[in-house]
Amino acid sequence: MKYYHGIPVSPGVAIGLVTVLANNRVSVRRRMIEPSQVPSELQRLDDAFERAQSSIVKSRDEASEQIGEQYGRIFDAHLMFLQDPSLRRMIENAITNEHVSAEYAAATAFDYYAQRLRSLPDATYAERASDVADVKDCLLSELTLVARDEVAESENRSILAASFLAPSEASKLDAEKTLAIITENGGRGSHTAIVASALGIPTVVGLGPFLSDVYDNCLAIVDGDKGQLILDPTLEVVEEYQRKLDALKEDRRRRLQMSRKLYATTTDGVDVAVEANIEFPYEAKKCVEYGAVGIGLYRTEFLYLTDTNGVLPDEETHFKAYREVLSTMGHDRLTVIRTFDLGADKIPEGRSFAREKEPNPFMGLRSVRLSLRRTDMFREQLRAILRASVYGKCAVMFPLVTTIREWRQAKMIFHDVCEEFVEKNAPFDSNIPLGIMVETPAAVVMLDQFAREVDFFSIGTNDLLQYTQAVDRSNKEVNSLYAQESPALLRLIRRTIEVANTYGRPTAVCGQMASVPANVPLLLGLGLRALSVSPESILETKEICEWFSIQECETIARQALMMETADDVRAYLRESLNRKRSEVVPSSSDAT
Amino acid sequence: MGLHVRAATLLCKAAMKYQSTVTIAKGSAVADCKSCLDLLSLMSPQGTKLALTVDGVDESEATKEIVNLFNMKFYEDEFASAESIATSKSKV
Repeated sequence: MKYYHGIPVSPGVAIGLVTVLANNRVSVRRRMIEPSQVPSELQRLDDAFERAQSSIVKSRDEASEQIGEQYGRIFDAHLMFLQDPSLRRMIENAITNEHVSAEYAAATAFDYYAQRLRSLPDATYAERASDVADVKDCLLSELTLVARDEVAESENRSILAASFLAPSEASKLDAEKTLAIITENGGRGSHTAIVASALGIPTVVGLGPFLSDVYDNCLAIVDGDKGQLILDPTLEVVEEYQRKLDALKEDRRRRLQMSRKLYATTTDGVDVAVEANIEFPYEAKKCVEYGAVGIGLYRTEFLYLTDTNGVLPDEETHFKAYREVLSTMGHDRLTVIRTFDLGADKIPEGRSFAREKEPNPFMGLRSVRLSLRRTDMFREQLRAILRASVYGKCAVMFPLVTTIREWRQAKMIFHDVCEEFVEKNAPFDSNIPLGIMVETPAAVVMLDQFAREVDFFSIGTNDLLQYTQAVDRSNKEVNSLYAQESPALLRLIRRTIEVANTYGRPTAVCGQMASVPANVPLLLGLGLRALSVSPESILETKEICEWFSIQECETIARQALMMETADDVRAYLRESLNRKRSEVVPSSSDAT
Repeated sequence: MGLHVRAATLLCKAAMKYQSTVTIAKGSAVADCKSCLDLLSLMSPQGTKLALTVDGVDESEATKEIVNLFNMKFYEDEFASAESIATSKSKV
């Protein structure tokens, strides 16, 4: 039995077998196999070598025929490397003696030789090193081809282990087949985290190197509440977690009882709107089921990141998604649609979006900046929103607005598209509120100017925190600075609410911060009356709102604002919540 | 230059023709002559002393061909290694 600690990003507990995702695009990770798997792994390697050889021979013949024999000869060098006996011995030895996967053994051996050639003081050797790298890619793609098919074939639900999940991969996750997700890298605000909690899959990220201890189908427990991974647990531990799973189910039943009431009411009678953050149209049903007042954040980028085959989604695709959400939510529950927040780490595949790689994408052409550059895409999305606006009540929100000029330009384009509808006599809602995300220090500092023109605000704590602390949230070296309870963030939130209240502009928090139970009383105390959380957190958030009075929350906020470090704030908030929990739910001795 | 890419390739191809184990040593580093990657990594500047070892049923034919390769300077003067003399130490 072995314990690992990571960052909990999607709650829940899972007990199951692990499937390691061989990720070709990232460097191959050290993955262990069981000693009994050695013969089959060697066979797999042999098959891959054979396929790689025929593929190189084929390339050679094609090249000779089409562009000339001297080009074909390049592949002779490839063949020679592929057939190299020392290389092959090295790979087989690693599999046989160290029990590593064929992918890892092969990658290591090829890298070893490429590195040696590169270190020689002559350019001709470096060229050979790149040949070696080509042969490596060829062999690895033959190896992982089979591995990926195996994952697709496995019918059972399993715990998915990977070094890292790209947003486009995360959005392809199948909730039916995935019990839990564990990754070595990634942080609290990563998109794996957002998608996983949207799908309700217990997830722990940033576990550090653990894949070397994992093999396919080993038993594991993932605790998405504590951020814990247990490999090869003992029977007693499995039973303990089984009891925890049962208790969670019971909690859920209890909370569902109260989800019929729309607003959560504090003990002193103040209504709090608990809204939902969603990615996918099918989540809207869950929002209604759990009693969300509305959708505080509908992220639309995933239309661009899911199965697009390199083609940007057309107006019809947008329209169908928005219509589904708006007809589910209806005219009584507001849906806030955020226009596409692309760029940074969310880049659609394919040519239609081709652009130069940015050295610093989080500071680059992203979000509303991109909308104002790609007005073709922006208008297409706005047209779809207007068409769908007759099916339910919606608002439109622009992401990462940093200057009043960006806001005015975005608003102008929106009104321009409305004009089109008026001219065509096409039906649409002419009273759609327009708001902005407050997610940079610049927006907070200039908020009074925005407040004169903007209908509403939504605080995106993930980006606001990232830009305030100047920290890359997926960088393990520094992500300890990315703490939701950062005192600097608390002050920015307080200022935002003060200014917004002065101008009478409704403000919600839609970042990850609101989904952390202990933060709920703090946010109420800071003056928020609308919290937008992941659908899975709606019930718990509503329940917590009903435990406190606004006065108690204000005391908590005042205390927290005086503290010096995020750790102090976090400890204090947890303690406050636990104390309250044990008062309200006396049976909850096992406070987290 | 000693074992240039081209020379290594020729040497490797020659060694492959025989069943014998053919190795070349530079100091303590030993390369399997049938592995072009090993030979390349052993890159030896002109003048390096290399020790050739051939062991197996067809060792004498193999030794002859490989020594010949060195003596012929791999059929190309510019890559020749005039002083790197292959010393055959056939073991039985």
